[in-house]
Amino acid sequence: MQAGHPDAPLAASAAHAVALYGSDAELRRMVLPFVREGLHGGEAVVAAVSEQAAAVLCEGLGKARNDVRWAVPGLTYTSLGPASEAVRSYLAEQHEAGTPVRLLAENATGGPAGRTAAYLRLDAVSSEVYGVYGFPWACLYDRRRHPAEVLEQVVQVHPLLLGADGRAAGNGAYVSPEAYLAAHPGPLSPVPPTVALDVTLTTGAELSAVRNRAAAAAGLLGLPVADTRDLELGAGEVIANALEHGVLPCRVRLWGEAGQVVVRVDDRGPGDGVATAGFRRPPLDSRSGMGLWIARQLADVVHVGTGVDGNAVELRFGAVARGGGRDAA
Amino acid sequence: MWDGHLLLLHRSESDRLARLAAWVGRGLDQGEKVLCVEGAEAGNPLFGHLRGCGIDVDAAAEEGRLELLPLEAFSSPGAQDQVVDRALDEGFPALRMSAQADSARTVLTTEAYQDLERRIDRLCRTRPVSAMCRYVRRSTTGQLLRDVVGMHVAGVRDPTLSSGGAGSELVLRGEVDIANVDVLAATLAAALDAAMSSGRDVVRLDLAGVDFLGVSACRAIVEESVAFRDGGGRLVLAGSAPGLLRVLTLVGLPAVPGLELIGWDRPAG
Repeated sequence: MQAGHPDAPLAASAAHAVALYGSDAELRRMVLPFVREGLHGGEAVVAAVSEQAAAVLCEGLGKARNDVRWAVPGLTYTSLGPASEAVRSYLAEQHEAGTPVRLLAENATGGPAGRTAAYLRLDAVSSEVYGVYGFPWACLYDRRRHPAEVLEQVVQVHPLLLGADGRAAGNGAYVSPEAYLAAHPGPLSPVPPTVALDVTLTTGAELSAVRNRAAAAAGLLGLPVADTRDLELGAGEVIANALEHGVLPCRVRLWGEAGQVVVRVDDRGPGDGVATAGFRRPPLDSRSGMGLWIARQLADVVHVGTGVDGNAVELRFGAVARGGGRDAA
Repeated sequence: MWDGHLLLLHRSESDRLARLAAWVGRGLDQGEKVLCVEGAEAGNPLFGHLRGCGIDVDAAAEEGRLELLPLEAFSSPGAQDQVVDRALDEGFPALRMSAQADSARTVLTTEAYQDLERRIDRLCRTRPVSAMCRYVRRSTTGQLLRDVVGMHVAGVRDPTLSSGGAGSELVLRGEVDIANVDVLAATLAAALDAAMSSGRDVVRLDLAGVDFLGVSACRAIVEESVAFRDGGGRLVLAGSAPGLLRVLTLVGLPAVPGLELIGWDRPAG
């Protein structure tokens, strides 16, 4: 591929690329050609990246830095589901308006261990979820910030690699979203010995009361009102799924951890066995899938795990504490 | 909230008694005559329950303010108007009456039962009458639910959902999830049917009093309005709660032809 030259056509092939950089200089060499190509081509170049990366790229761009938009509306990365949905709806709007866009994305917020796994899974499906709008985008990962096993997975979820010279090249290690998600189910968190809410349901008639109790418990744990509303809806849909499709009873537990509120929903069924469930927006008339999709758009992290005891869904709500490790719950 | 021609869908005996007691208490407080239509086999257990809820049943019954009437004495044609006339003659400003309607359905023929419901509906619209028809929620599903809701479109009282409104407006309050999405579906379908048969092509669904709408409810709004919208009708969803706007938007309702969202506050950010 000859895509790295600033004037060479790269867009068509640069659907979902990754720049794994290890220094400021490398970041500039890898990414500036991608940015300049977009600016030369009259595209709206939008970058939602870490402050450090933005500063490095600005320096390299000189005056052209002012031609780049340094934020995606509604995107903060403080909660991954809403972040992913903010990018999707932004791309959808630009697509609708016929405005060519190219995007740089970098999540540098960190958080609990399972959060990187959640981000990688969203990144994996984004090849399709964002890809339908036809815009090129590149994800930035600072090699110094991530362990080797994470970097190995980063490579697996991006069909293209931005090389040290800025050229985009096909990536032999890429695996399909289905294969990636099947191989990397979300790691469920250990449930603490004491939880703020532990209830068991067997009928839909109990759903409203449990939803309200969960919202009240989340509020007492300090979850902001808007996040609590998202919890009520997202967790409510996951519980509804368990009641409609799972094997009862359905157990709901809720606790606080690292400034977030975790909801875990268990039923005794085998789950649906579909690794990609709820990652793609289902059609409006589909009988299933919408509830989990909604939950994924609202929660920071959604992990689904199936074991001998049944199916479990873990949802985390609220902004993650910066650089957060795990609090004892 | 508790007047007009109501459909009480009760989930349990305690739910039934609590709501019936509230409804009776409200009537007595307002000086109305309260009539409970009971099957002959029912005896008089109701008064015991009302007494337990703090209602002075004996005084009310003594003074004719609270009365039990066997179904047979109430269901014959013409009997309902006579009951109303008698209450007004006795000096009451209004009459409210309640019956375990699903029991009545087992005693009367379907035609006689539907005729009775229609006559009660007419009384509620034309005379100072309120009626509460009680149904066991668990056994009121499917087509039966649609039929029953169709006769009480603006007076549905599910444990977590109630309906109101008139003409081209349907007002909902409460919560809708998988437990009562069929009630929402039946209510909306009946309201839109009524709109279509009277040639109205804009219906306003007021969701300002709705605290929770699940995905199943959003889907029902779309599916139940297909015929209305395909026929050129416009269904306007009015509300203000940011939580509701969130689910409506995520599910994709704003993009559905013939559905329109107005009056919603955009969530911050």
